[in-house]
Amino acid sequence: MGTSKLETLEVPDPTLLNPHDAIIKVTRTAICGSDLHLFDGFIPTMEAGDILGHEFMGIVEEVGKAVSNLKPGDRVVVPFTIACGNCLFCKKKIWAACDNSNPNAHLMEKAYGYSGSGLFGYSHMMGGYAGGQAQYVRVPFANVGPLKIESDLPDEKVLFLSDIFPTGYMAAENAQIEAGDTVAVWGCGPVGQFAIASAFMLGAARVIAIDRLPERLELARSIGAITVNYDDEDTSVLTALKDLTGNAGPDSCIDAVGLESHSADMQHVYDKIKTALMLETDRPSVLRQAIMAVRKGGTLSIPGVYGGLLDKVPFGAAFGKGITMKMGQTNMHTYMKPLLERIEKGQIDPSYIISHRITLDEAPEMYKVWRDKREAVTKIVIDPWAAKAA
Amino acid sequence: VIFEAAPGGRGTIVTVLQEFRMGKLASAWETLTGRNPKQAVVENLRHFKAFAETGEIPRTQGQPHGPRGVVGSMKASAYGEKIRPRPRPNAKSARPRIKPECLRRNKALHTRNGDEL
Repeated sequence: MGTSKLETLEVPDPTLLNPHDAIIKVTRTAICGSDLHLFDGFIPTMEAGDILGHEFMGIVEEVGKAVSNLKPGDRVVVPFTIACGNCLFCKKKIWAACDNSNPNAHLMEKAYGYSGSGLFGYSHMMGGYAGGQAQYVRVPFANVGPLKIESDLPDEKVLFLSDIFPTGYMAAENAQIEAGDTVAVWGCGPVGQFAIASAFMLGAARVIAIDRLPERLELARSIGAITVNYDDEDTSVLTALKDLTGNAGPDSCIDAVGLESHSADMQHVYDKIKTALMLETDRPSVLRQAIMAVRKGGTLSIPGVYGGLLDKVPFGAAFGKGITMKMGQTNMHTYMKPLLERIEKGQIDPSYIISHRITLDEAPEMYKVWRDKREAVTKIVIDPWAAKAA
Repeated sequence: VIFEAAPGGRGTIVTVLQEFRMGKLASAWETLTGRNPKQAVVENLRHFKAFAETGEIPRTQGQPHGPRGVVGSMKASAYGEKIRPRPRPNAKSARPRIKPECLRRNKALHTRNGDEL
């Protein structure tokens, strides 16, 4: 589906367009797993010329006249969701549902009934904002979003406050974990890693991590998870989880994979064919497994992105077991500060997931590596000012 | 334009009643290009709300981008991204500014919060 051509180009520098804008000189940015959904054409309304990137941090270069809390020279991490801070939803702290930050709200209303907040570099439906895989970026509502970093923590330790750490944490919070619970996490990519770490922070006694890539399973083990490789021929995930929990099932399940999931069985072929024929838009094999696997009355938390229409989702099982499902884009602004404090206190060093450090010129090639899971890639961080290695 | 208090102290509901007269063909064309009057009223109300709540109207016009090509450019237009939100609502008239050529004969379309009456 879609087109997958990416290149690094010179474009004009961004300028202040609104009173609450800031221009940030990007010092570090990263490629997110959800950027692959764009790259692979699963999210509609991506167009030629769009600038990607929603995980970034940097130095404030210029601020609009209504921004009083930031000044040039401040070091900030910018949340990927853009929130105005004043609408009904922001006041309820459901920042990702902000009513006033998406200039193309009418597009999302057609697809979803109502529009969520604008996002950086994530399709025209989500606002059409230029992203942060760049040297400079314009940040709207800079009086509300960016988190000032006043300590001398290196960029790499705080960069992931822009998306994946809060996303993993909200996933664990949405999983409604009680002390002593067993939590199953599908996907040991960056969000899965932080969901595992956060599940332990929130009192889980045991976390079972599911993936197929040895390097990611190894990372999960390094932070205390038990792992299941679904590609092992004699392991069905459902059976493995039942065996590990005395047939009770995990108290909570977290789907940190989303719409491009893989599975080892015929489902994968089925979904590949149906998405190719445009008879469904997403490949929900993890969602199906997680609904089946969660215990009766348990909770399913979904940080993995879904975009459209899903086929053969066992909703009867969800109803029959009376499970709770919680999901959605991360309400970033709620989590950034408390999680920064955890990093400052040394409770976690999010940089442990980084496997590649690259320049902006190398990014188009690395999207392919990231998509194909080559070179044992676990997280790619870009220094937009580094010169290309000779 | 009607201003009413929302129940439970949840702000104000603004209703715009506006009549447009235009031919079916023009209406279809305007719809296709994202510029039909009904949508214009909806967008104006949305802009008014954003301005009232935050002091600005969200916008992306003027931000950098790579070459859009012919298709990308047409799509940007269809998404309504080429219609500039007015920087600030005109205090004298809260009515949306509609291009005179939209005000054509025949078919009447009433819009109330975007819904046909």
